Amino acid sequence: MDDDRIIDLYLARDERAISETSGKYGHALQKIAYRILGDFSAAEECENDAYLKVWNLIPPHEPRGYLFAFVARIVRFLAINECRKTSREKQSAFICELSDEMLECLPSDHNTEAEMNAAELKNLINRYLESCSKQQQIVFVRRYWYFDTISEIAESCGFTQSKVKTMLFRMRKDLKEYLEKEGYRI
Amino acid sequence: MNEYDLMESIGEIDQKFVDQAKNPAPLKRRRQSVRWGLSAAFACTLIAAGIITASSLIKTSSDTQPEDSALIQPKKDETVMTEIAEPADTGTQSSDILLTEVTDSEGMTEAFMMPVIVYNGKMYIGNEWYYGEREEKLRQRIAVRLGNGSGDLNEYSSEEAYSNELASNFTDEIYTVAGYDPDFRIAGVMEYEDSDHPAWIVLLDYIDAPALKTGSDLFEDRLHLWEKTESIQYHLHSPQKYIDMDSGTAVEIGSEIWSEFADQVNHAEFFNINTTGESSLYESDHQAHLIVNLDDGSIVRLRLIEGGYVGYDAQPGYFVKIPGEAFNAVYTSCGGTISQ
Repeated sequence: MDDDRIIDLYLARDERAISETSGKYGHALQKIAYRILGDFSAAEECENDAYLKVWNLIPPHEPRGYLFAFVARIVRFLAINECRKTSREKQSAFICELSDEMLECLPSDHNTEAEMNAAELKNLINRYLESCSKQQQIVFVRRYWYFDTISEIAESCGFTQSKVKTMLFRMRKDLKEYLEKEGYRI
Repeated sequence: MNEYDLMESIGEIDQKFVDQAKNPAPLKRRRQSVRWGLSAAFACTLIAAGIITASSLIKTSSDTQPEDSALIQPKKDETVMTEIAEPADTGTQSSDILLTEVTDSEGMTEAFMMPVIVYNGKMYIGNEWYYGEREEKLRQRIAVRLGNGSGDLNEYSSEEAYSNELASNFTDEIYTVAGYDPDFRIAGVMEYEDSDHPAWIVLLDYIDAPALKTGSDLFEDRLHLWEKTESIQYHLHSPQKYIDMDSGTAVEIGSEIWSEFADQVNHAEFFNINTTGESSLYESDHQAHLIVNLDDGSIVRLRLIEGGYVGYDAQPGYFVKIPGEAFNAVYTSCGGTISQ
């Protein structure tokens, strides 16, 4: 069933909308949740919670053309929130690895008064990505939005793993410098 | 702000970035007849002027993937199935300039795109990246500093840029490598702070393929393959994937077999399968992929194709052909299969 039709079901308050969403995107959504949480049952719970939220968000939202991203964002948010509550020892190796990579991007004074709010940070990240090449954008988003492994990114993009690793390393470094530079203006 | 905040904010990036990355088409190297804006006509000019040779512009796009995977140690006589890789593009035609497209002109290229440098009027091309233990070993062979790459070559470079000494698409330092003639091999030494792998070495080779007469011209006189062989791994043939230099199945080849193989390869004449009408050999299912680890930390990738064909992956299209017995002994030891 195409996304527009699924959205029509949400708008019509037809519960088939959820089963259709799950049937079409459940695997990809669970993968994102699992990558973050490292536990299948937790990932499944997260996915189901996301469907409930989507049910409550459509309407008024009408994510035509971006249904998957709409649901996936909610899954990411819920899973990351769950991660915040979990001690590092209990987190999956993958999310620990991702967290460490994110730490590399944080400006050196990220614990000081010079904090930026979420909207400002989002805008800065968007502007940073705009400055990158298409292939950099894709690799970055596959890693930090879709939570792909290095080998998955290499395979899907036709790159070597070393190339992917190096690209990401340089982008994290550049993002950090960008955030430091832009953050001081706020 | 903490790492989770950042992770969350990344989740809110513009839709267009998410959509673009949803089903990425392979952004892989492709055959192309123009290189970085180096037109075919200009290439011919350089070739005619003796500044570069056509073979120096012909390049495999085989990739290396330094990775922290241990060698698989099989039981004796056990064949271990491993995932292997086909270079993204293989083969060349004498009229094609087959090169990696430079897609990034923002200075991020030196670490992952095919590095190139003009040294002594010849174009050296890098094809293997070394880091970790291999880099440490190779580092001991890094000898005389030659200068720094200019870093000003990219897809938009003018024709004049290619005629400058040390014209390059990276800015790192260049050195000679002890044990190798600088007319054949030099090294780029690259360092990144705060990386898991702060130091990288890329070996850049100049190979004038048409000038190679016999196997010894390349394997013995330039690569010093036989005297430096320390160990061998192999991968079974399979398309679509890349061969990781640190993975594969270790194989013990008897010294007599290897010596006979080396002797036959040394004496065999090089030929270009694209000019002999045998370019379809690359599509054969009956191939063995060897990674020969040398005692200096570097590797040599050999491709063995059923029928006696022995090629160096960094020089696509050029093979020697050796008699069946010497060939098959190594070929079948390294996972090669013989068709019915």
